[in-house]
Amino acid sequence: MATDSDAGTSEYRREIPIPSPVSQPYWDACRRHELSGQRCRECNWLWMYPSRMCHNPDCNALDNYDWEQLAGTGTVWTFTVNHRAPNTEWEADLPYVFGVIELDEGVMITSNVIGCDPSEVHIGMPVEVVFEDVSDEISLPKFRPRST
Amino acid sequence: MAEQRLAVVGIGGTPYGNPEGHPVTSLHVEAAKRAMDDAGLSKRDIDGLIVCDHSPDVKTAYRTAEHMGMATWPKQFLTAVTNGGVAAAMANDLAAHALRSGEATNVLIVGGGAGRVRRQAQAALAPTTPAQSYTERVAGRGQETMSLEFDVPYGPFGVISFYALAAQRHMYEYGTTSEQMAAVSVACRKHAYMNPRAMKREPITIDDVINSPYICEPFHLLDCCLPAGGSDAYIVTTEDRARDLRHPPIWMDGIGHAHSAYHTGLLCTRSDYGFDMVRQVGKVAGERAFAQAGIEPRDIDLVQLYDSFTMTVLMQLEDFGFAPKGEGGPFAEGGRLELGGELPLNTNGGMLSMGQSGVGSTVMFMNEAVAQLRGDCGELQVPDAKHALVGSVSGTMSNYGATIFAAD
Repeated sequence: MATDSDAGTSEYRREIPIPSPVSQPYWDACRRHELSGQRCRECNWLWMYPSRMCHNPDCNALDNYDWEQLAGTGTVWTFTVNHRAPNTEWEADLPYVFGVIELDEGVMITSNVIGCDPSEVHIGMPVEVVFEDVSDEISLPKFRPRST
Repeated sequence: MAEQRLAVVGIGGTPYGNPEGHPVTSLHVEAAKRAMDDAGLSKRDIDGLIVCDHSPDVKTAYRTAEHMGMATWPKQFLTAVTNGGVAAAMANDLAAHALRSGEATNVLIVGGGAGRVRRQAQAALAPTTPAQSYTERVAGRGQETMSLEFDVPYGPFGVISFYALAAQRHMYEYGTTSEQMAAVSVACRKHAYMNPRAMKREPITIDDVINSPYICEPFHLLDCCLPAGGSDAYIVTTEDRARDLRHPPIWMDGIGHAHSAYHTGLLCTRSDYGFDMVRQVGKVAGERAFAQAGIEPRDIDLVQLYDSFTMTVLMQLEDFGFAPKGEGGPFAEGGRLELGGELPLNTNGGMLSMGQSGVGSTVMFMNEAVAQLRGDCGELQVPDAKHALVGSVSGTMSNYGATIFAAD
């Protein structure tokens, strides 16, 4: 998977995730530029967003999952073009795309769509993950257009 | 034994805007005073208190009781509900349990926000923690939210970006247009024009809305509600007491709510119940409230719907059953939501034009419904109004409340 070579590391002043004991493996994988989800050992359910209990409504499995690498490809499920920034650290990027990607495995992830003009982004647009190294510990998965 | 019917017997609110810069508790006290006077009750009659605001914990209820001079005697039922736009709907449910169990006899529900004053005060405090990000402060308390770890690092502009995601998807799936969303804002402003309490009163057109600057596409500035300081309060009691009070009781006959996901990625994921970001659990809340009240959407004379954004209203119209799914946009056209139309919306101007007092707006909508059913709304009165529905929404359309009121 590609790296966004423009991303700075030492000057990054935006909100940075603080991993919890449960989410640490997810962020460790991101550091290796791999996107991952949790797969239940009891019912085989795949879920996104680290949590200890399986997300299958009919499965109460606790702490019984494997981390599974995802393909990192999907389509834009919805998005917005931000014309206002939450703080000064985002102003230089305006306008930018904040959206939800439906990954090919069927799970959804919130992210930015980068690497194209915001006016080109549309629902159903094929995208692929690209990692932005924002600190020594954290790489943020973002998405850019891919050709199909 | 049949359940006791519940009634709202007193309503009251502060002016909107809070130019004096009161902290929220001081606004609560003023709203409470007006509601008690309206009901003809003294504070010694109030043995249940529920406070709705953006305070982080239940202590806002203790503070409000203290500021009302109620600190020194025992209150059996005292709590706070702080979960945003659905707070008063949940407070109704708590009040119902307290009243029917006999734990309380008169429950005062008060909600509000201080508006910009509050934000300035927070900014003034910021230099004391210069090195800490918001994420660090939350994590340092041993708390976590998925949104903080997985949404906020991508730069959403407050809650507006999240609702914009729903609006964009709704437009894609159902062909909803910017003009249809704008019709909601135009209806609210038309009503605000006749409401001296409203923050914005000059009339606007659909063109004004879609020509106002984009905030988060597809939302323009005039698709978004208007932050304002203010507080509102009402008093709920049971049928046996309500009959003896000053005003004809307005019955709270249906209380429904439902909750789904808070974090955006999970909210978008279609559940095996068929819900996702644009097909929301408001349907469950509405069905429950209508079943309790024993009426149907076509019996409703007016609605007060949480209008954080114009799309929030269109989705409630669908999920509560006033329009088929996906047809909230066409439903809003042609003045249907304006006074004189088929289903008048937010007859005081709503949060889009009267103002949004944070969590307190959920209380404001309850009071406007009650005032309408009393027939007290002057030139804003919906003729012969007998039934009203109040819709409450929080999160990004994560939590829904539906409250149905009836007049005799």
